[in-house]
Amino acid sequence: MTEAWDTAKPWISKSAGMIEGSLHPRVLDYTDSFIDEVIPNESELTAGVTIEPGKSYGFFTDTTLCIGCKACEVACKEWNQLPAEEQGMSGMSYDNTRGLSSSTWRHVTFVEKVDREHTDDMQPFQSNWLMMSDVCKHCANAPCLEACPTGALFRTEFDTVVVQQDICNGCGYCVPACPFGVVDLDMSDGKAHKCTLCYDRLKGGLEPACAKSCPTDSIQFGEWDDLYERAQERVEDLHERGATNAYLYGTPGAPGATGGLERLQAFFLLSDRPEVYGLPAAPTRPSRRVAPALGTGLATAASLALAAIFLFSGKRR
Amino acid sequence: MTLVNDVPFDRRERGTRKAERQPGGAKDTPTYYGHPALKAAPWGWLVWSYIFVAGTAGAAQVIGTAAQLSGREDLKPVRDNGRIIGMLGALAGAPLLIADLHTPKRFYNMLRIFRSTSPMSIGTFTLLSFSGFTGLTVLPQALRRLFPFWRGKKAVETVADVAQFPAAVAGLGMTSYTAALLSATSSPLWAAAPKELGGRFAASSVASGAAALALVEELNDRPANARLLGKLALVATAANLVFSRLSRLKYRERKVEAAIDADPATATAYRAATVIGVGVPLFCLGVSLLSGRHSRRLSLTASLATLAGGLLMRKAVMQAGENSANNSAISLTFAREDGGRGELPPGARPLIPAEDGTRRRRLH
Repeated sequence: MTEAWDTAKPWISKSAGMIEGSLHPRVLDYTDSFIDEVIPNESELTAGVTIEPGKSYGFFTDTTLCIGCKACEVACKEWNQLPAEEQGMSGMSYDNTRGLSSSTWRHVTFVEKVDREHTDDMQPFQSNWLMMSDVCKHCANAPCLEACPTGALFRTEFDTVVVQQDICNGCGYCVPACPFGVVDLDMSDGKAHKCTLCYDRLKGGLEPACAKSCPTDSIQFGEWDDLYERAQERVEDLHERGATNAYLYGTPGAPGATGGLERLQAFFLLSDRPEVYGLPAAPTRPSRRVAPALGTGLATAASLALAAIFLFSGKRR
Repeated sequence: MTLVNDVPFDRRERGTRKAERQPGGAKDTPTYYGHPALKAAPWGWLVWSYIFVAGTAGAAQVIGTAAQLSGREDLKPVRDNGRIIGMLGALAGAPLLIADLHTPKRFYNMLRIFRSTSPMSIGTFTLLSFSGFTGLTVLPQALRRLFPFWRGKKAVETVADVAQFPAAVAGLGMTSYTAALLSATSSPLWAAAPKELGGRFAASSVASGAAALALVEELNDRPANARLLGKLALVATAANLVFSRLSRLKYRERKVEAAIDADPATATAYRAATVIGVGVPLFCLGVSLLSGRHSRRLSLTASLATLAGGLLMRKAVMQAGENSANNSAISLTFAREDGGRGELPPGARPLIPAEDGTRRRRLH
């Protein structure tokens, strides 16, 4: 039993504090059904990671493991007390949520992929669906943070990006700044909202709600470097098994971490073009366009000012 | 947080219906059911009006400074009116911006920090310094009206003449930073041509500033000044035309052009802005110059058209940018490695509609 577990999850043995092929020793301290306290450093038991300020954390979302159960969507809504979307039928497969918004910080995409190469040898029930749990990418050079004029958006001690609700004045500049369409204004409270990577839970030593609830470990939480190592191994493993279309999105040099974005704290393993999941293949860092636009504008205005000086320098009355 | 039901339906739907048609972008770019991959700026008429007002006010102060530098007695009214237009713009600008915030009572949080990567932050302090220095430049005129018999205006006038220069520097910023504000986003149409947009906003602002001043000179029966300002407006409008053409070429190259025609209102506004803001003034001012005789009617028409066209251009650019963000075919093509100019690798295929028209797998 444990062996099979290990083969399916070769990274488990590498996680901090885990005993190879078995449970964390501290699990035995909490065998009761009802625990009347918050387990100290619970993340050690659930994610094999000790959460400490100053370290860099993130999500590795492996879409090849996603079964579209939406446990992450629900867990996120419950923990963060976000209202439901009531948009009606979308006609988009099993996805009536449609996308990330001010009240949806995890969103599961459902792509009913038509695989024309295997129409003869694949049964219809072998759906070949692609599911992906989308989330705020917590970019290393976060465009929303760079755009925010109030400092409401800030980088936390866990290397994540959070909107301070008591500072945000709803200017809305972070909304078009985001290259992934994540940040959104809530028109009912006039503030910007997005995933906080469960800032409150991290402070309490808890793994983020979505990652903890994920039954297939498609969403993994951990230190970024560990996650990156795991992800690379996973890609290699998938390639060996014949799934050569697997690749990482959002890691250095990969799609999604382009145009000055460097890396995404929440990165993904995808098996089709990023656009199929609604993700940009080569997003850019908007602040790179400040100097060209402002520079050309100032040069033009200054040149026209010189023209004015020249025009006005004629006859003196 | 209130229930989603409290939010009007069309507000929540933002652009999804528009996106269904999905014109533009590269044909081989897949999308996720045509659902917007970006979110459009949640700004309305307040912001595009502000962009126009800020540009016109900033340019009026710049032109006023040029008039001051010339030392000409006959251009003194131009300097004084440049100051007044600058002040009116500053007085209107801040309320417009505050009203557009979704939590206006926290407007002062804009002053908590300065962030050089954020044109919104740059703009906050540009507007602040522009307002301050412009306030100093209008002091002599204000005091002359309020206290006609007060002596010692000389010192205040010196202060105003000195403050004129930093006001002009901030005025230059007012004409252009709004282009950076739009370009430094992920909305494809705004991001596609930052330099061209910068040149366009600056040139249009100077044209509007000159037009506003020419209008005042004409109405106060100083045709010689109006003619001089008309010449400046002509040069600025010509520059505006050049940058408009250049940006259009860039939009075509980056495959975002369809966002302009995505809805009739934007398409009409975009074309009308060029006809009214560029075509009419170029014609009127050109005829006036070539004929060698100053025509009050042509001068007034040119000024009013320049101002109306400038306002309309900001509205059109704003809407087209929002359209481009709401259109996933455009935004995902724009964000492709090749910008949609090449071909996608063979593994990629558009999801809807299927190339061969079939979406159902053959059953066994």
